[in-house]
Amino acid sequence: MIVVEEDLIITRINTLRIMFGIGGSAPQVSSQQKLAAAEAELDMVTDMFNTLVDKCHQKCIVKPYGDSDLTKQESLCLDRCVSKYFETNVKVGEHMQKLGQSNAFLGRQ
Amino acid sequence: MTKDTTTSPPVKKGITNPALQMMGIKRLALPSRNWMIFWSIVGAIGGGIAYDKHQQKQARMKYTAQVQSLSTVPYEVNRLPRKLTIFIAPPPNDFLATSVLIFLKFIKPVFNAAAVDFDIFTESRQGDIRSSVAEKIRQLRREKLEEEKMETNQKVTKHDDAGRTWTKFKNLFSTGSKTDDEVEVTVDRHDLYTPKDVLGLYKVVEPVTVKRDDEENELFSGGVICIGRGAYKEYLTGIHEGLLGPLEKPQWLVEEELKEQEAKQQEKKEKEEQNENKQHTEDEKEEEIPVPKAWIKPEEYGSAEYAPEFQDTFQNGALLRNKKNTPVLFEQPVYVFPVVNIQGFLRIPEKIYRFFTTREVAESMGAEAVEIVHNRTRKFELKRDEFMGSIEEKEWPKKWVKSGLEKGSEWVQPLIVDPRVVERIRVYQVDV
Repeated sequence: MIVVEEDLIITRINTLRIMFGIGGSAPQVSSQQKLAAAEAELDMVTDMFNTLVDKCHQKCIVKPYGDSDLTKQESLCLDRCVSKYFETNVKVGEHMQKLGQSNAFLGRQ
Repeated sequence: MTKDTTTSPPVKKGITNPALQMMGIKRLALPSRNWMIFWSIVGAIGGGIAYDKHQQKQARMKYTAQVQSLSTVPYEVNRLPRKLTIFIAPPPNDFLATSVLIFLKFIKPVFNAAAVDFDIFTESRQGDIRSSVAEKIRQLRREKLEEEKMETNQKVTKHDDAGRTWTKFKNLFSTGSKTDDEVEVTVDRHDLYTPKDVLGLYKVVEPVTVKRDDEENELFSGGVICIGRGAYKEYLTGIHEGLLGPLEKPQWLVEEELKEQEAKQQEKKEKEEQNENKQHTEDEKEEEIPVPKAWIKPEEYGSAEYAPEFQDTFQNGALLRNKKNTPVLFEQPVYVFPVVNIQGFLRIPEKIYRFFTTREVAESMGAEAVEIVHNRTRKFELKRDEFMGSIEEKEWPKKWVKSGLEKGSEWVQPLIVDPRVVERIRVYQVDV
């Protein structure tokens, strides 16, 4: 179990690293690897976008749809929700990266 | 057998009848005197708290209901509501949480119900608000200077443009022949594309460009709310520092800071020498960067030059706007919520009284927040608005004020305003 989780985290960090374009200059990579990375990134972005839409819809939109337009309250809530989501995502990504670089997670020293 | 009848316990007072006894209630009676005292005290205190909380809730509901209708209007997707900036400073000798809680409990619900956006700026050290406000204004002035420089430069180099387009055109063709042994350069992802480009959604839907309401109605855009008299003092001095102060750090301040640093290092050395024998048990905290000092002293306001970079806009009668096209901070109306925080051993009775009547604070702050939502403003009045929220100052602990005066704290200095600067500031018209 632990090994699997660790792997998961490492791949997640890698995708995060690609996603936010952080993490210094990588060693020479083949074009196939690049393609795989691009695919992973695309997956990552779509995944994030979908969860974002889902979460913010749940949080902000009043379910009995009384109007075809958004109300002022809803649009403000959506704006805050999206910016919070992105901010947290970036913060978590940065933190994971720091952990990954120091190899300090999961008790590894 | 006969013993039992003589020592039987005295019959308790109270009502009893067979019907009650059948139900398991032997006797209906008042509890003893001590229990009565206990329960009445508990009941009185608990009831007082519960009643006050209930009234607070009623006040909150009353004021949120008043503005609720503003937030349920249909709203286009490309619009965003107006945004307030909220400065929160801790009351003297207390934690930031005290002021933050007042904002969260009594003011925020009204803003949320009215769908008014806000940014919160908190400080934990004196001077944070002042220095950041001043730095923002200085940054604006620098940008303005740069723009002016660019404009004059462009006029000179305009005739060169024709030549430049030709070279661009030539380069376009020459890039076609790329050699294989060129070194691969890694480019930042953000330069190539944004998440927007990757998502298929935007192949179908036009991306929306969002506009804040602040851009449209000049006179009613934005707003600055200061929680606490200290925050207001710092905000105003920050504006003065930004507009009247120099753009570069003055020489006298640089020297002063150098001296202070030296003194600090000297102190540290002495401490280390003393502690040499002892073990290094205490973890040396990372030294915080001290709050930047004001670049101009209040006495110099009168003789200082008034932001020469902005004079063009000011004389046109227009409001100064930032890159997002909203009026900058000091062009937005301002309001203060005083945080009255009573301290001291001898004033405990007053404190208790205020605790049981917090509903009055909820009532008045809610009403004021509604007025801010409705957004009526007036000009800053000298000799009146500089004392906004100064009832709080009477409650500041005397010892704290005394030590503040010794240390040269900015809060305890009288607030000095310059008529030129204050002329442009607007204040919320609140009649409660």
